[in-house]
Amino acid sequence: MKIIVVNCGSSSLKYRIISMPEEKEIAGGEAQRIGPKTAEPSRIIHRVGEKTETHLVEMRNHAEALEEVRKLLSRDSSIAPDAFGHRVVHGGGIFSSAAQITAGSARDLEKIKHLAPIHNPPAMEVIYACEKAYPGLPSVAVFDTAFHATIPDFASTYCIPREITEKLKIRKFGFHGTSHQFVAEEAARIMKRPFNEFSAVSCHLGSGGASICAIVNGKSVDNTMGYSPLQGLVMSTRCGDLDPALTLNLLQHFIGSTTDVERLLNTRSGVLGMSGSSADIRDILSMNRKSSGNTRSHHTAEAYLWRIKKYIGSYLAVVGKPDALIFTDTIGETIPQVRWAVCSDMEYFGLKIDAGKNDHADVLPSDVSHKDSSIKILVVATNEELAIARRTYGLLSENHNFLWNKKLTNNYLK
Amino acid sequence: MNIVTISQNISKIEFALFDGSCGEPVSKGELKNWMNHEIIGGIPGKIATHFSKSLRKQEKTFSANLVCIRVAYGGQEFKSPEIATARSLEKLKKIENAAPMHIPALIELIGAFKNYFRGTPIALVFETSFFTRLPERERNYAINPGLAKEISLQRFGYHGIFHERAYEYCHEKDKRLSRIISVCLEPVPEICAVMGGSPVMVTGGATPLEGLPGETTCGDIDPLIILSLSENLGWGPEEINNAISRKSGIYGLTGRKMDFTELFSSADPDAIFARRLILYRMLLATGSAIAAMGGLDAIVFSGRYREIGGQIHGYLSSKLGKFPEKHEILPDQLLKLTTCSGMLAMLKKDRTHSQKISLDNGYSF
Amino acid sequence: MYWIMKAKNEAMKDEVKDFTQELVRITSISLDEKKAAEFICGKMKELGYDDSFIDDAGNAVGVIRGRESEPAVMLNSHIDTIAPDEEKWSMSPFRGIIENGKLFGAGASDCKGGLAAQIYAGALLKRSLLPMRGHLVVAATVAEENGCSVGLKKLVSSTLPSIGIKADYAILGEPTGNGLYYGHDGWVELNIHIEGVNPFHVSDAARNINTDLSLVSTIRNTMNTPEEMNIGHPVFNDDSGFRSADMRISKRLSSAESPEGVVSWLNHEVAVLTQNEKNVAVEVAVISENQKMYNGSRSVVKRVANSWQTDPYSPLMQRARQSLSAAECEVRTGKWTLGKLGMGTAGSVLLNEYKIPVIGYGPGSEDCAHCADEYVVLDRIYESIYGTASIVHGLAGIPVCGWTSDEI
Repeated sequence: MKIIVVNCGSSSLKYRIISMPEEKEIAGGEAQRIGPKTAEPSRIIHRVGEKTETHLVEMRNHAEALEEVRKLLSRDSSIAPDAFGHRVVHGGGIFSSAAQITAGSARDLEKIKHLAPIHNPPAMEVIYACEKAYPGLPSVAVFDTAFHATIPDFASTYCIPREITEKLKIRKFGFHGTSHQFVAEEAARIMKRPFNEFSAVSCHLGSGGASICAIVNGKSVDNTMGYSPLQGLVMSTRCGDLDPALTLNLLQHFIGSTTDVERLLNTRSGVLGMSGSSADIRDILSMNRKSSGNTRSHHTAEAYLWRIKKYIGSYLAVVGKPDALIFTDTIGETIPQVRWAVCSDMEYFGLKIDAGKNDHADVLPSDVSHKDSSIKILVVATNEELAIARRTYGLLSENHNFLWNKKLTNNYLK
Repeated sequence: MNIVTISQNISKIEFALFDGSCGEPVSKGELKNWMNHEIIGGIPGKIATHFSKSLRKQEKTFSANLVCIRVAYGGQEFKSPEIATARSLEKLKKIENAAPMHIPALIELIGAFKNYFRGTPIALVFETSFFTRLPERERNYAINPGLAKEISLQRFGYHGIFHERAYEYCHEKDKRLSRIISVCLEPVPEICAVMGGSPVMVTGGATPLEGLPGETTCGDIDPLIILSLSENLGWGPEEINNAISRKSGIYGLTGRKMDFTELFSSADPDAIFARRLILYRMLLATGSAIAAMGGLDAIVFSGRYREIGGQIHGYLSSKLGKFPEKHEILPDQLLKLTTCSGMLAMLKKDRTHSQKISLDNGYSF
Repeated sequence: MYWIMKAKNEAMKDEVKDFTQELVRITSISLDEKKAAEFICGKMKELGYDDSFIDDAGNAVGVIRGRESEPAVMLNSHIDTIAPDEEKWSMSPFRGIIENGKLFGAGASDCKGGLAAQIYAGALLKRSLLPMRGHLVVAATVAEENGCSVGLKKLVSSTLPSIGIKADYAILGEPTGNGLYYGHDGWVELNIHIEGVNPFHVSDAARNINTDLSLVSTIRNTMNTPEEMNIGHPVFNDDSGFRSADMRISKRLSSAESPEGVVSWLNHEVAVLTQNEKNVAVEVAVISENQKMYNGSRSVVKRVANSWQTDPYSPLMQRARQSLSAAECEVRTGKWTLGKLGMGTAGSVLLNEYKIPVIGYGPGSEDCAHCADEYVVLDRIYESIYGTASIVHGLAGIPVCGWTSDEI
């Protein structure tokens, strides 16, 4: 089965065609600069096997982008997809696992669109466009929040008045679930443990967003991100944890403008806001190697690493007896200095990193733990597209009879 | 040597009179709603009357040699207790924006005491002094440091007097105990990791609102929730502040006013849930504290609800394999600690007085 | 914070009552506000304002300094009242009689009650020990009722700059019944001047304009609400030879109308109406007056009150609504109806001329303004003090967020 995995950003559309169950990527690409015209033309970088080509084409919205992708794919019948796997960031309180798109689930998705105003609406647009372009082909939505549906209520509840949390459905959702689940499954496989008996702390340290997840017996029990992706670690432009009074004071400072405060905390804080020079922690770390002492970049690097370390401590305590500590995504996979800093002096938890292995973890997956460490420290490459393909394939083959019934899958647009 | 000790909160002033031995107070009492109705200038007189009355019963007369005032916030300006001078008042004025409900009232209060107890030194003892030593990595938030002049952007803790004493208490018992988790159980509880006498991690934030949930305070929440409340309910920061600082925490979860002692003994399902939640948050903080210190030698409970420390210790050690088997409970009360710190401040500043004072309290000054 | 303000406000009631009563007792008809201004200035000093003085225009100004200069909030009410028609009053308009919780007197509602509330709002913030981020200016201005707000204009254009303050927001203490008002229609007073060599032609022209069949009917045909315009009888000048005539007209201005527009429209209309009268010149113009203030300074003022409207969803309105709601005050928004021609507020001066966002929030009632037996309900004043202080704190106070739990 060839599954096309679609991942929408606010102005981009990434796609991979993955042949399942052999998990082989046969084509892929990215539509960039979707939307109103910008300085550079919008384009699709399309790749089949080893061959890459760039098409300049106007795409005013995600639906048009999908149509252009369809045209490219239709030139080669060997890559014609059989099913769609859509990355949908927010599943709200409704979706606790991947879901096939039907009239009913599409309605539910519409209801929670506002929870991720940048990500969910374009994903919905593409889901509708897929149904138009490939009538009858099954579509599955895979949610970033779904893996975290198992977080217990005492960990997902915020201590604000119940009337408010109930009315506005405020709770911890957690994000990066697809990635945390994927790397944890990989780690379980490496350690030859059944996933439902596997416990770990997983650090998804991206160059943009970052979160840590506590996993007990294959289930997420906590995540540093919360109601939104703003909470938790210091990220490239997001502040992470903040005294609630500071947000209130900023709101007063900006004469009640939530837009200003949101933009400040989401896009101008974190590594960028603290350092004042770069949003990329790698720049800050290398700046730091050159100079030392009481500089903004020094404070930024320290705060960034310290927050990770504290949360690792918290989640190791929560998990109790973890099998592994996992690092993944751009920073987690490629920056040994980060792993070293956050794993040092953690022997109390049975955690010990091996300096040599850590510095040479070039081929992934890689075990960087010291031989005395009772918890494995693993560096695992994340592959969210493959994870989505797996979820999609799993769901479709599980419910084969039901899902391939075109009458049910059709016409969910209405 | 008579020492008057004052603890200032928004809702009330607690006061006590010590005879200099740092034992139990000779007399104590409280003034409720002092900020609402009282003309602050009259407060010292009321307190003095209270002491005189109760001393008369003991056939003694009241006089004061030192007034110690506990202060919730002193910023980076006050790194240790100090005797109030014109210069201290200037410094306080400078930082009033960071604790706007407390400092202006405190300035008035100091003035009132100066007026009433003419010539008597007034020692200011700050909850935050201990935290002026908090490392930068723990202190800083990931936002632009020059963002807004009137907003304080640094983390502090708000039970520094307890935490500092908790560390000393353990360290005096056994010199090898140098990595301490101090759990202060007051209406806004706080967990602090103290290593070698200095704080390295604390749950409190730029204000006492961050960290663990309290009796009416929300503790840690996603910043976006605040923006969501503003957008969805049309509330301004003031109304949201009311909700998250006066109607949240245990009160928000259970729907009724309940202190920690009651929470930890209640069989009410909402209370059981709230207890579970708060214990979980304490576990998270404990994990962070251990990571911050690279280990742990002892755990100490302090504050007015310190007796529930046993239950908390039981929960934490059930979750953490290598947890200290026993926990410590700091016997001292806040006012007593304030006295001792205040006296320390005065001794440092005022050599002439210190000659006359003999201290019999077991504290190592 | 709010419970402290509430309690302190409760404790101030008698003081506020006495002050407002005394203020009503001091006659302060437009252009004769000196005594009242001095009384107000003295009170602000007594209440602990960081600064209080009488400026060159004769306004009484009080300042509470913030830690920073921005944002500065100005509370503004006028000191002056219209001259009461004492025959219509059932009591003396200057005795400040209190009955059933109502304080009667000239200007009680418009706007001495509002002035008292604003002065004490500053005092309430001081007594609640709430530090300010920006400055608070309480300005009791002269010559509003008769003088087209020259006092306020002087205040904004010269007094405030001279003390280094630029107002970012303004709140008028005009009667709103403690609602948040964001504007009203305006009015203009015009003069139609007719001049000619032949006195008969002049009087014919005047008659042509001022008959039911002429200008009034023309206007009736073009306006939905003809009662919103008054045309006075012509006054003939120059007894010896009937050479000129003047007619006064006052007209309501909707937010779509400008005085200039009305002038050119009326010029056209009267030209048509008098086209058969040879040798007469007719001109419509906004009335200007040369006025002498109580302190002797002179100004030329135009008899115009422009309509104005602050965006009801502007930050000022939004923050005012939010602050009142947080303080558990009633939140009611609206606009003044200006039931009587000739009424208005200084909002247009602030908003249109100086671009300062402005709203109204005051304890008086609009129905009472400019009436016999004018009164203000004392409880509304107390509420207004608390409400105004809450709004000011929301706009320019040091935020207290995070510090308001009973105990830590």
